[in-house]
Amino acid sequence: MVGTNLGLPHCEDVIVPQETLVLEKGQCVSRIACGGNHTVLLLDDGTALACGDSKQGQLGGLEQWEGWKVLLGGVKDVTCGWEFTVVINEQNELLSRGTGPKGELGLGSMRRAEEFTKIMDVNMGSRVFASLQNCTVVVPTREGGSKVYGWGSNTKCQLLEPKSRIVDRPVLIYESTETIIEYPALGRDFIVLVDTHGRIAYASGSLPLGFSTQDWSSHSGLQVHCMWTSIHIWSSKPGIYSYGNGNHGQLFRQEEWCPASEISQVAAGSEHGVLLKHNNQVACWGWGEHGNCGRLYKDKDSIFNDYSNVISPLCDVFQAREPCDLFAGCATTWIVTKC
Amino acid sequence: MSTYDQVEIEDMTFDVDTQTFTYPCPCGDRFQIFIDDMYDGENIAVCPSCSLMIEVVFEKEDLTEYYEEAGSQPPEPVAVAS
Repeated sequence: MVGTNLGLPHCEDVIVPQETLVLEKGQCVSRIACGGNHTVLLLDDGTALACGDSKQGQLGGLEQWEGWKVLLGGVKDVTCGWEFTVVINEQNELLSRGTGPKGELGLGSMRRAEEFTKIMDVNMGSRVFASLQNCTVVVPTREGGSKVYGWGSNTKCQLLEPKSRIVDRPVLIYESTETIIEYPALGRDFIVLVDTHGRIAYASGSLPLGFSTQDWSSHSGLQVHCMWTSIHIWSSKPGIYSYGNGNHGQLFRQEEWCPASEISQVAAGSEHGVLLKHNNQVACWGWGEHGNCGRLYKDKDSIFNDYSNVISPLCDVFQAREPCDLFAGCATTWIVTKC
Repeated sequence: MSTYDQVEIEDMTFDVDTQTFTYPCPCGDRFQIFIDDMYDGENIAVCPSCSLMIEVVFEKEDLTEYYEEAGSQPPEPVAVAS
């Protein structure tokens, strides 16, 4: 990370988890969405809190603040891309702000929005998901199926064919009257749609070498997590199965690191992964140059990054007392614990 | 020298003021490469905030439209024999 997108009172990389926000009793975090240098944290009551860079309009123009500020209330869902933020509000309106040179705002020729601006109305229960240069919304249909719309970069045909540099309005990328899409897992140039049965329903774009939807067509109960350049499929068997770019330790080594039976949650950041074990131990693997995978040898007291774990095998970073929630961003790792 | 990934020139952002191509780095900063260096054969874009590098996939001819966009010239115009 290169800015204040951890909500801490400094810009230094930290290699030991630091407390960034304490919520009042009864408040819960439902989602943490990470952009290139900004972070939005959504509470169960619909309050969206934000920290980090806002110079491109992604959070609040030129306004400066320290730590977390209330970005917006009445938010049902939120996602962040490189320099943009997209929300669904209580009126089921899809809104975006920030900067999107590849059409990431979904607002037609508008490439920058200083305020949340309406893209379109969506049905109740819709959810938004973004990668750095793409955004998608999953819309449940009244007939019981799903529609998935996407916009942004299309140079690898991740949205539609033929390829194009810019798609600046939502286009329908998937539609089914039967299959209910639970979430899209987005990599840098590819999209994988997963249905409510944990089946891979559809995949598009420049998919990592070796990955084929056919190989997984008979599997259900899958969770798919994407880093920018790799896909990680988590199932009870064989555990976490990785495809793609592994030159910074991104590919999970199931046999050596952690039996599938011990894993209870997985999250993927830009080029690192985070998992929770049943014993409430949080561990990270992959590219950890910014301290985001923790310190492999706990031989120092300093909380600040010492570049001692740039390519990280599975590394224990935090022992929680109770099950916690995990999120990950651009070389950032997030743990939401219960008090 | 091993790079983190390959990126095609059409996926990069060209800034006419700085004459630089950039592309998001997974650390949050941007890979950068100067157009004149590409004209001279350089194809590695570096990130100012971390050790990652990308290999930019391009042909020398691809640069012409960006020079036109910037209203500038390549560093060493071909000398005309007299």
